[in-house]
Amino acid sequence: MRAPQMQEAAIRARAAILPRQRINSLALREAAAGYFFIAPTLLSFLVFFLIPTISGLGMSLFDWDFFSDPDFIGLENFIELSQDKLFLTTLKNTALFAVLATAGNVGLGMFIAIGINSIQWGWLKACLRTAYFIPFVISTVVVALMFGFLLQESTGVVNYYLARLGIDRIPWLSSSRWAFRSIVLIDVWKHVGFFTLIFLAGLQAIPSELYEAALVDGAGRRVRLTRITIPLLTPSLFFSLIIALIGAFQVFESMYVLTNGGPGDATRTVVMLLYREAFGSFNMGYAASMAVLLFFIILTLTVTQVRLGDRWVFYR
Amino acid sequence: MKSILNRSIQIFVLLLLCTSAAVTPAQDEVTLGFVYGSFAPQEKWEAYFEGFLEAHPNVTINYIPVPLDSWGDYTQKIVTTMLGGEQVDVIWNAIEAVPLMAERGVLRELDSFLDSDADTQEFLDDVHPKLLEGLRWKDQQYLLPFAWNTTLIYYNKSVLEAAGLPEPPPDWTWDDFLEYATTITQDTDGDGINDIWGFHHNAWLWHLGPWLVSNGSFFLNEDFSKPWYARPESIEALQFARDLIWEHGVGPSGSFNFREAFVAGSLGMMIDSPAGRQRLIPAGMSADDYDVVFFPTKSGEGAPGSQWGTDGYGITKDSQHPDLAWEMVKHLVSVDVMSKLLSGEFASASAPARQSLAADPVLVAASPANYMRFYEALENGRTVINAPYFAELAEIHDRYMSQVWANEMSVEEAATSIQADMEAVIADN
Repeated sequence: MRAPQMQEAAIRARAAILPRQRINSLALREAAAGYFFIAPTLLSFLVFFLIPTISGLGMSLFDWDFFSDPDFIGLENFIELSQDKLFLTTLKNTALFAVLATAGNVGLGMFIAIGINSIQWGWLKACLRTAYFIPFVISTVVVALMFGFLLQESTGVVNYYLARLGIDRIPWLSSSRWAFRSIVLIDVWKHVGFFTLIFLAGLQAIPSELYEAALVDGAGRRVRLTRITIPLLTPSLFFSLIIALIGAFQVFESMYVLTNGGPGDATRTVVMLLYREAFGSFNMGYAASMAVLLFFIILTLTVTQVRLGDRWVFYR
Repeated sequence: MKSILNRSIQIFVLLLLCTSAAVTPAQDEVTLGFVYGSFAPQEKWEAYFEGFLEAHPNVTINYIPVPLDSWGDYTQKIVTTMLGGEQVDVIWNAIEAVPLMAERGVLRELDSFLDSDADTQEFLDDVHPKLLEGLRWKDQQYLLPFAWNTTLIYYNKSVLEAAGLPEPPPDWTWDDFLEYATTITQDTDGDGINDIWGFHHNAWLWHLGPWLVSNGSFFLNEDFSKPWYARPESIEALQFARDLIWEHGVGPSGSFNFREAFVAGSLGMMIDSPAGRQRLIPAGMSADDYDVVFFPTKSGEGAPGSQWGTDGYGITKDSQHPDLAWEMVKHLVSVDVMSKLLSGEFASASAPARQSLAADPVLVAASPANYMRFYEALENGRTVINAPYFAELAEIHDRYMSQVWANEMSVEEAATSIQADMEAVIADN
């Protein structure tokens, strides 16, 4: 008998021997305990998520400069947003960053995880796992400052060694062409360890009997990878894609510290523009409308991913 | 009889006074909220209040640190702090924030205090009038100046000496400057990468402003209602500044730790303010190791100028104790407190707003020989951009000039775009 069925049977048994009044008070006590246990989560959800989200939605309908009383202007902020060339540029930058960073983080994370998982020595596996994960626990601002030093065009360590190899100095952060790529690379360096860990957990959940059976059937390494490993990693892949995409759409610190959106607007993202509108120009309503739009973009992409996930994610 | 009566009355009055003094309740305890930039730790700011707390034992100061990234951001954080319910009475802020804070009703005008308090005359006579004027908005005083900064060219004496160059003359020209920078720039190990650079500057407002001033122009006109980027003098100055990197190769492109390079002797000249002393002292550089000189002009003629900014103290409109807050502001701009700027060891090493302190022996000992050139540059300088829409203007400048500095856009193209975009922002405001 499974656990829920056993529970149900126990409740029925108790109902048979207990008077109705006692059942009601027991149910009430159990419900109260349930609410008590979820209260901290519910409270933090309300305070840190639901109320700010609703406030943001409301604020996007107002013209508010932070100092004076807000004026209700309906959808005017959204209309202005649709004609704002700078916003469209930042949206394009954000989308491109999201695609490249997600592909880099998830793709490389899976590749590294499969590599680490195939290592026989446990100590080496643990060392590599830790090494890849360490950048993830370092503050993004610290990572950005560190790479800022390493990638300096004239005196950076990276260009110094490239010059030793006869390669011309690369304007890693000071040219429009390179700055964006550099920031994607830095993002992948920082986050790939997290995704590696997710994939490693997924790999360890694959039963070894499947590989043993495949070996008996004469399956080679490539067949085992494409027919067993990757299909059974799709739940991890699905989760990673959603997390990576949401994170990438919210990118801010690395670009703010390393390039401040420049040169020009080459590395300016929606969140950076939102921050400038809110805290530089004090256009709180306009900034809120950007946040709302970004929220719906992320929501749409996530829902689409979930819907499409049914077609390619393989749950054992 | 009359004298006995008189004596009795005197004793009675005396007793009455003594009794009333004895039963007068202690003054109410008051907490004043003080906002400061958290770039310096609280204990350094606390040093400014020595004397004030002794004179006002009923006052407790609530130190409210606010991270200072940019003045717009700092100002917004102050407002957020106040909206969050924190009682703020006295604010330390800069000239850039005055129009915004005044327009939005955050600051209280100080003219009524200045007019009714005879003690302030001594301060008004001593403070540099330009600084006082700079902290006014629409004919009202909002902050009292405390410290100020302007930028000059710092040169490392030993680097110049090694390059066989004498100390630069104050009336030097662009050609002289280029010759200095070219001579200093060297690839000492022959690996194709310069090991010593002649000069460094970025596309930042505070780096480019002096080039414009020294060529008779600026970013905008006097009241910041019209951009001046498209003026021929502006384009000429910006072109010269840009060419130092991309045409003459005497300055590094991209980000560069110029102060560290200056201290290490791998940079001959850089742009910095009086506050620059504070960063050089801990690095082991003494005032004899470097000096300052005016920005060169195209022909060597004209009064040497630069752009300047100042900070100061003001009182919030929401202050519950404006009179005590005013006492605090007066204390903060007193000679005793301002003297703490001189050694460069307290919260700031900027130049003191009081002119009487300019020749103080402590300042002279901690400063390079030609420190007084900062004061001359102030006389002929322009204020940093201080308009309510400062953040928008600064962003427009950065957007286009960063592309010029990346060699991806011509100076003329950038100047035309900046001119158009700034005109649009000004028209909107």
